Parts: sequence; C-alpha cells; structure tokens
Amino acid sequence: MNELTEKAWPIVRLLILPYLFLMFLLIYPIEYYLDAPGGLTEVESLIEIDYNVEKETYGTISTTYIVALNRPSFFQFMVGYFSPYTTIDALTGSYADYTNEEISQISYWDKYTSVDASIIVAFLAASNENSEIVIDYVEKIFVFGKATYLSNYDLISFGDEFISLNGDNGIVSSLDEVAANTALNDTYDFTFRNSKGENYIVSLTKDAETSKFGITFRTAFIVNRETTFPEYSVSNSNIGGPSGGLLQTLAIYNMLISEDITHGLKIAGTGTIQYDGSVGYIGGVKQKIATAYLNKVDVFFIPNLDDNYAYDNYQEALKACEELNIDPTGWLVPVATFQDALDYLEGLGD
Amino acid sequence: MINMKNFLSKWVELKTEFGLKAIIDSLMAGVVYGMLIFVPVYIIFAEIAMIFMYQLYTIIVLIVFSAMLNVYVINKLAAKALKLKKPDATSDIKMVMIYHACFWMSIVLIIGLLFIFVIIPILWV
Repeated sequence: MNELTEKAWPIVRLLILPYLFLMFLLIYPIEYYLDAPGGLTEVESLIEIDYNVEKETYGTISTTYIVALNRPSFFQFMVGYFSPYTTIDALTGSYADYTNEEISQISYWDKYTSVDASIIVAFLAASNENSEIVIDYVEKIFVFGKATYLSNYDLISFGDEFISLNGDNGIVSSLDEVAANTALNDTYDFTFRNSKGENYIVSLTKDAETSKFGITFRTAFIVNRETTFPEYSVSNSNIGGPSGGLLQTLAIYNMLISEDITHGLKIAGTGTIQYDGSVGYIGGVKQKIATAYLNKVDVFFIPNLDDNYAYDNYQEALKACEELNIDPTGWLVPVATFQDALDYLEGLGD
Repeated sequence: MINMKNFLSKWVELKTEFGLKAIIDSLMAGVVYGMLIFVPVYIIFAEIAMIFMYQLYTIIVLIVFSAMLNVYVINKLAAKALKLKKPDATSDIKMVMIYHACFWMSIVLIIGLLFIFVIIPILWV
C-alpha cells in the first residue's frame, strides 16, 4: 500500500481540496424541499382482499407517488433546479422544525389512516349492493403535531394514540373535554398507546409563553378487522402520504364487486378520500402529472372541487400540462367524489 | 473461456513470488484508492436516482456498470501496487488480476440483477 501511496501522493495532494469540496456538495443538507416525479404502484400489491378471488381484472388501478425530498444536498438542489419536472422551495411551517425521520413518521401515519379510510368507503359502497359485506370501524385520536416547546418531546411519537388524560374532573378520553379539564394546573398526565400497542403515561407541562401543551391531535376512523367481512391484508408500504386514497378506494371496490370497472385500462390518479366519499386536495400536482405522462396511463383522476380556486388540483394540473407541453385531452379526468370516478368508469363501458 | 488450470498455476506462481501478505496488502491498496475514486460516483448516482425515480432501473444499470468498473480499477491498482513492490517480477500479475476481476464482476452483476428483478419490485410497494 505504501508503494502505491508514494506513487499517487502528488495527485492525491492536488485533489484533496476539490475532493472534499465535492463531498460537501454531495452530503451537506440544505433547508429546502424538492418534489420530483415518482411512479405508479398497483393497489393490488398493497391490499389483498380474500373475496372474489377467481374474478379476472383486465386493467390496473394504481396510486401515483412522487419523490418528496426534505433537505436535499446542494448537488440534488442543482440537479433538481435544471429539471423541468421538479419543484424546489424553502422548507417552511412546522415541517421546518421536524427532522426528516419525523416527517416520514407523519407521512406513514397518513398512509395508514388513508388505507383505512379507503377500506371504509369502498366496503360501505359495496355493502349497498351486497349484504354479505360488513364493515365495522371505531374513531381514534392520534398525535399529529408536536411543537418545539412540547415537554417530554422525545417520549411521544407521531401517530401514537391518545387514550386518556387525568384531568381536573377525573379521567377524560374525549378530545372535546381536554381543554375544559386542563384549566387548573400546568402539568397533567396523559396516557398514550404506541405503535406496538403498549400504553404509556407521560406528564405534559404547559408552555409558559403560550399556555399550551404544544401537541396536536387528529381523529381518524380505524377498521375493526375482527368484525369486518371479507378479511383483507395490507402489506407494509415504503410509500407514505394520504394522496392514494381515491385510487385505493376504487381498487378495493373493484375487488369486492363482481364486475370489472377497469375495462382493461391503465387507471391511475391522485386525491385523498374522506369518509363521506368526497375527494380531497393533494400536493405535488405537477410531478404527478409528469409521472402519469411518463407512465402512459389511460385515465388519470384528479381532484376538482372549485374551478375558481387558484390551487384547485385540476386547474393546477391543466397549468402543469401546458408548462410541460402535455395534451390533457382524453385522459385527465376531474372528480369531486368517489362516485364521480365510478360514474366515469361505468360510462366507459357503454 | 476461463481456464481454471491456467489460472491456478499463475496464482501459485504469483503467491510464491510475492507471498500472501504482499498480495493482500496490494489488494487493500486497490480497494482503498478504488473506493476513494468511486464513492462520490455512487453518491451521485444515488442522489440522481432519488430525483429521477422514474428512471430508477436505468440508473441501477448504470450503478451496476460503475461497480463493475470499480472492480476493474481496484484490480488494476492492485496489479500496479504489486509491480511497484517488485518491478522485476516475472509472474503474470495482469492475468491473475483479470481473472480475479472477472470473478468479482460476475458477483456484482448477479447482485445487480437481483436488485432489478427481485429486491426493488418487492420493496417498492
């Protein structure tokens, strides 16, 4: 080794500084986020339902994912800057305070609850036509946000379930009663349940400046699998976020009914699903349009709730199509509800 | 076509002339300098893959080719280190290193194919 080092040393010495500079560009993270096109994931690879197993489905229904890089390196920033498909902006809001790991936790929790929302909506829709199908679910409260001043910050994880609070008037398990039961003291004992199903108690103290605990909760309906029919399994996903809701719902519904709503088409799209079957807005529209275009989909569903709203996803998609020189005719389909998407697909069969 | 008998006789010749310690030392030099050259290349490909995920398979193919080139460079540098140790060596260093590189390149290729056809489709759900 010494011989080679001796021989190469003049070159090595010359290149040390440029080499270190290159490594700095490649490794040092900057406070930006970068959205880039991703790909399609067939819902069948994520959710399997033990029902209609002999039914043949000729087309595919896929969710669309994008790549969301938080704190890219200088090098990624530069590469992304010159790509027409990417969007780069400064990391702002609460996300600026979160680590990349925490942002991932939120994203995976969103995915988890979106799958349950899809199951609920699809099962309810299918149960209208087939009484054999039964869906049962419960409302749960989850940790969705943590302020920097939250006491015992590291003990609580995103997605942990709120069980109860030892409040001024005794044990409280409803979110509506938390404020009224935490008026007299500064510190209260909260009980949470972590992802392993273990309960733990943590004392939270109000911040002196804001008089708040610094924790945000969100409610979600979670399927009770024991009393739901048919049985289903959900694979572990490496893709987070709630934006696959609408397409998951369509695919699950297709698994439950006897007809094939795909008509042999490559169907994709985006949009969250609400429990009433309405579709919600998503981010990264430009990248999702690019992903759909690059993957040559036949139908792409996109939320369209208000044409006059500048950030309406369908309006954004039309702008993205213009920017990327893509013709939206025939494949870009605006929808406001799960039923709109179903009606469109049923119309294709006429 | 790889002739194993030929390779073994050349390997024995090389081992007798240099000794195992010197050969391992040269290979280590090859690995250290080879990796110094290729680590930034791998990071660049990985970072590009994150942005151009829709070209993931193309980038994986490029990474596999880079890894094969990396193996070649490691063996080339190891051969150079051996020659520097003994400039008047008579054994066929080049041939032994080519055989050695071919073996590791095949391993890299198999791992690359595993990623393309098995691991990525399983993970990317």
